[in-house]
Amino acid sequence: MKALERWISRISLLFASLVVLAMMLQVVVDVAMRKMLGAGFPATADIVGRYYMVAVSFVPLAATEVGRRHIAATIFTDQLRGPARKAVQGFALLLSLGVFGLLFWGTLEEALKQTARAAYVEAGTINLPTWPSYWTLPLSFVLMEIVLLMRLAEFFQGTYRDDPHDPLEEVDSSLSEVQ
Amino acid sequence: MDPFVIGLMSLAAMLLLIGLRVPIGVSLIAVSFLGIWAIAGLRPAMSLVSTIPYASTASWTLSSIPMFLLMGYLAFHSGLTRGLFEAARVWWGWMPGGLAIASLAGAGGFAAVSGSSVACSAAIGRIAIPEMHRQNYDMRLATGAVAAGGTIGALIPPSIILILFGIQSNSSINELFLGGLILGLLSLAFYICAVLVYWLRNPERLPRAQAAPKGERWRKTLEIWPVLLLILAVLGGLFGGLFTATEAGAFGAFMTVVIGVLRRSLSWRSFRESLVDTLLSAGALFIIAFGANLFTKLVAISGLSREVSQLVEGLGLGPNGLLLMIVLIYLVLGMFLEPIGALLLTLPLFLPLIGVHGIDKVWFGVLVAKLLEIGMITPPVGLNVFVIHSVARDYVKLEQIFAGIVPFLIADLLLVALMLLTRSFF
Repeated sequence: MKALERWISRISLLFASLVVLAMMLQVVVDVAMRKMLGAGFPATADIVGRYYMVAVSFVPLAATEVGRRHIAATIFTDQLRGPARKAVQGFALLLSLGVFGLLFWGTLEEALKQTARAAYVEAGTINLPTWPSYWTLPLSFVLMEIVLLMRLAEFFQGTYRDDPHDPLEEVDSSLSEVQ
Repeated sequence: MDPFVIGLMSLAAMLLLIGLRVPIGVSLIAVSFLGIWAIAGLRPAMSLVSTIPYASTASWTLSSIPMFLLMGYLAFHSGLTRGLFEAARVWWGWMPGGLAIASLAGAGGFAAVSGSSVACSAAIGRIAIPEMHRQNYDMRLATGAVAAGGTIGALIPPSIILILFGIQSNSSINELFLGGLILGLLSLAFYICAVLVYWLRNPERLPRAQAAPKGERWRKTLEIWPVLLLILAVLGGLFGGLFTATEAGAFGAFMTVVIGVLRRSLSWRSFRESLVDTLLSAGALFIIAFGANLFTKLVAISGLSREVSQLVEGLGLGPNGLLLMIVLIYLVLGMFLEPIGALLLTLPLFLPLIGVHGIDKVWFGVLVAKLLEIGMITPPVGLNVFVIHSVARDYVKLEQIFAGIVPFLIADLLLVALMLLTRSFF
């Protein structure tokens, strides 16, 4: 199960990394072209908004869960032990499963609808198709559901842990390298 | 049932869910969906859930957030920000409380390349705290200074909180950044005063360090020229109109890569780590942003914001009373919640009130950013204090860091009071 978790995390982060880099490069090229040639890279604002941003926002969701970086307030439940703690954990997991299931369902319908009508935006002189980008959402949510289902399995096996993410981890790994 | 009652119940349910450790994004989405369903029916609720995820994130302006995150992580992971404390130390280390002042100044420099307050505290703390320990500083003040210094990170541009506020409230990000820069520098000045006052009262607790030789000063300053150049280029280009706030992030990230490659300090590993950190932060952030968008719809449909503003009007508070109330609410929320959640949760309710009273949105946004950052150092949940504790576990207990925060907290409250009195940035 850990292998599947890592695999989901790795693939989605690789894909999203490429998108982030593309976003950075395209905006820089756009600014440079506008300053030097007087006209920017075609449809940059639309491509960045409608494709890159959607991917950057939702593709890392599952990886964020794998890395336990989703934000929750832990202060009120930290003192709980035993069955009460279990109940709180189980509740949060089930509710998350429900919410992302709902999002999967809703955005899948939306993606089908946009595909059927071959949705596009007019960006300057070109028509930029936008329908493929709608598929990012159900795909991201289904990955999130898979990770959450694995968490639920862990929960029933009694191996689930909900240690909050240590904020230092974020900056720690390479600090050792820097020092 | 009356939509307003449903709205109130939703608000209560959401706070309950967050208290029960349900992730903030999930709480927002679940409650908003059920609330809209109860008021307007299943079909509209389903339609919002299907369309808002795309509509709320497919935004050009929002793209500055991952770009600024990337710039900050790249600068940090490639060691670009490493020399900041050292450079500040050789210049100001001789002053009373000089090392604490240097760590504040270092944090200010770090703030100009990073929008995150936690990263700011951790990075400076790692280097400054052992040094202050070596010089026999009072460790409470030493750690308090670094934790407080980190809060400047979310004020001095780039600032994720200010970008989010700008998008939610439809105000100019450039103006917010300018306000944030002014208030960030003012906070720095107030913190330095706090150190000096502390030194006046307890000189023996902050022993003076030896002045660094002149040559040393310039050598250390020369070491940090890349980061100074980066700050100058990004802020200069931004305020000089070369590029927009949205483009500045991409430009800054790109420049950081170039500097890192030229200095040979950006390894493949740190490059990858920066990307992963950026994406995981984005993943955690945008689900809350989307949830907050849904919640805004619920607030509108239920008439909650209208009723709340009528209620507030009925109290006859006037703009000053209203602001005071909002300040108190943010200070309390900040004690328990992480800033971005607290911001997005409250704006749907507060923004209409601010509009009614003709309070300047930009000024209000900067004030809110300041208040949320105070929440990063107040107990029981003070993320900056926690991160400093992880860094300085060998030297201090958590309670001691919270005790060390007090002078800086007083400085913060004075600054907020001044802002409220003058209703400007001075």
